[in-house]
Amino acid sequence: MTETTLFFLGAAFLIMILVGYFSTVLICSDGLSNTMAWTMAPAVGMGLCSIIFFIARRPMFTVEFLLLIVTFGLWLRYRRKTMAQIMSAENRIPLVAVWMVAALAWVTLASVIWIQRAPYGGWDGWAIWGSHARYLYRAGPVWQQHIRNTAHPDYPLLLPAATARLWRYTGKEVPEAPGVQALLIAISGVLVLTTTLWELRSRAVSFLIPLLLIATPSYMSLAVWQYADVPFSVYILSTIGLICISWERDDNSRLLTLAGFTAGCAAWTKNEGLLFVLSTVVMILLPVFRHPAKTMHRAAMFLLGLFLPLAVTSYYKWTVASTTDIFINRTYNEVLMKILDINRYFTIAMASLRTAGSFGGWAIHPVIPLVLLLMATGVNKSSLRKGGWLSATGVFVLMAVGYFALYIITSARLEVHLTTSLDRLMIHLWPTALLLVGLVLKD
Amino acid sequence: MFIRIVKYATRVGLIAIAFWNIQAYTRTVLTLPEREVNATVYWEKAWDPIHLELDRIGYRIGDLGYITSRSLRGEPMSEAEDIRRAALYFVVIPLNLLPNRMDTPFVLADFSKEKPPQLPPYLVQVYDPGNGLVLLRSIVKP
Repeated sequence: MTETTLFFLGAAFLIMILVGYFSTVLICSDGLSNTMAWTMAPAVGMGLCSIIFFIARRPMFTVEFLLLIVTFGLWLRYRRKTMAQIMSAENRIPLVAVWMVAALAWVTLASVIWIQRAPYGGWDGWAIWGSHARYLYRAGPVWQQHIRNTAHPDYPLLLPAATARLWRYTGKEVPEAPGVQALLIAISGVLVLTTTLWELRSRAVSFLIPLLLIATPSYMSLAVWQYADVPFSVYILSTIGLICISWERDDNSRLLTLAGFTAGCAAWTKNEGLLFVLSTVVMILLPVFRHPAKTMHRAAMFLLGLFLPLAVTSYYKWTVASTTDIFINRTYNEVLMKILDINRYFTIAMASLRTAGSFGGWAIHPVIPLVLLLMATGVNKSSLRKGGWLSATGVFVLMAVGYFALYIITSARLEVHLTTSLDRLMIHLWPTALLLVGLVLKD
Repeated sequence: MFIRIVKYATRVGLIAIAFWNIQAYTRTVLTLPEREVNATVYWEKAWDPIHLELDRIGYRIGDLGYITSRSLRGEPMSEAEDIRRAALYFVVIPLNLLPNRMDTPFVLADFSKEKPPQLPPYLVQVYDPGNGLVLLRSIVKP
């Protein structure tokens, strides 16, 4: 990689992060701290830049620079609000934070070596996401016709478009670029988990729990393999984190707009994101009978943020992508037979139990000491009753049930489908599971 | 006091387990083969001269047939060939690699494992960079 290439790649990442940061601060205003806004910036920026690339291919640079200038101008006007909040925040960092930062630095270094040695990532990384990115970049204006030649043309394009955008900046294909981007998002996920816990609980555990995410080998390896599962898990985590903060901060509904955007980005990343959007909307609307006006206001704010990424996803699905394989050549009878087959439920339950022990690729599973910690510190019952935690847990459960249901009716051979995907589906929910546990741990 | 010790011990235990798992991740990274051995990196390099040749001819997008010695004999693809085909499919984008097809304007022959004694009469060699991949032109529909 030449110095010029490195410069333009750095510029692409910097612009992506700045766009994400300014947009996050502007959407959330005084609802988030500056630190939290920075940790969310890579994921929000990647979502925005990916959408810009998809909508405005040729004037991509113009649109990005315009957005950067406008958001920067607006940020200059409103920044005092957020800065005042940081100054008032409790900033006593516990010792475990040092361990976490050291672990993060070490894992980042190891991942960089991985990217250098296997720049094209793992099988799905190049066969699906890399192929899509190449069609977007190499096929020019006729990409829509030719992307249909890929293995899964129905898969949404957040990651491929973000990769193709990086190549537009460098002026050529840099094979390491998507790996670095995925690593950045994985690190951002760890930091989102840390800041969410720190903002809501401000305890040593805010650094201890994210340490477990860093120490999940599959989380890091799926990122450097350039699979979409890690960015997807980061969007789920960000959405859930924002919902929790929104509930706990006097029902700050502006945060729900950003949560809507990150949920939409999840749908723009993977097909499973549509299930996530549905689950989140259901949980936001659930209190409609108790507090109709408040709930409708919350839902409206969430849908406001959701609109753009969901519209882009829908447009892509309707105009370019073919039908998702789960819906191809299905008959009512075949699906009904599968629903009524009790053996399928048993097979999925057993596979889930087995995979729960191995999906992280751990040498030692952290769940036993985590349970011990829960027993030793105790559960904060008031946290269990908080609307944010309940909504987040509801989304988590709906997602798990949705995944189970998809396996029940899958058109693929069940055993093969489970073997090739169940561990990745668990990674989708793992950072959120850690957040939910971290939120209920007693001081 | 006892609770405090248990709390402390579980925290230390969690940190220790985390670092043990990080150590496992590090070992995986250190056992990765060198970049040059990576299959996709290898095929990228092998494809490069043919890509340049096709670029010179002006064939930049469209279908590209794919054959091996086995497929010329009418045998099904072996597992190893299938893996190579998948890698090549990624490498040749935006050309669309079509296995066992010879009716496309150009055909990519993967003779890296075995070279056939002679080519079928409707396939003409265009370019052979000597790395196992050969660019052929289809002259009549088989």
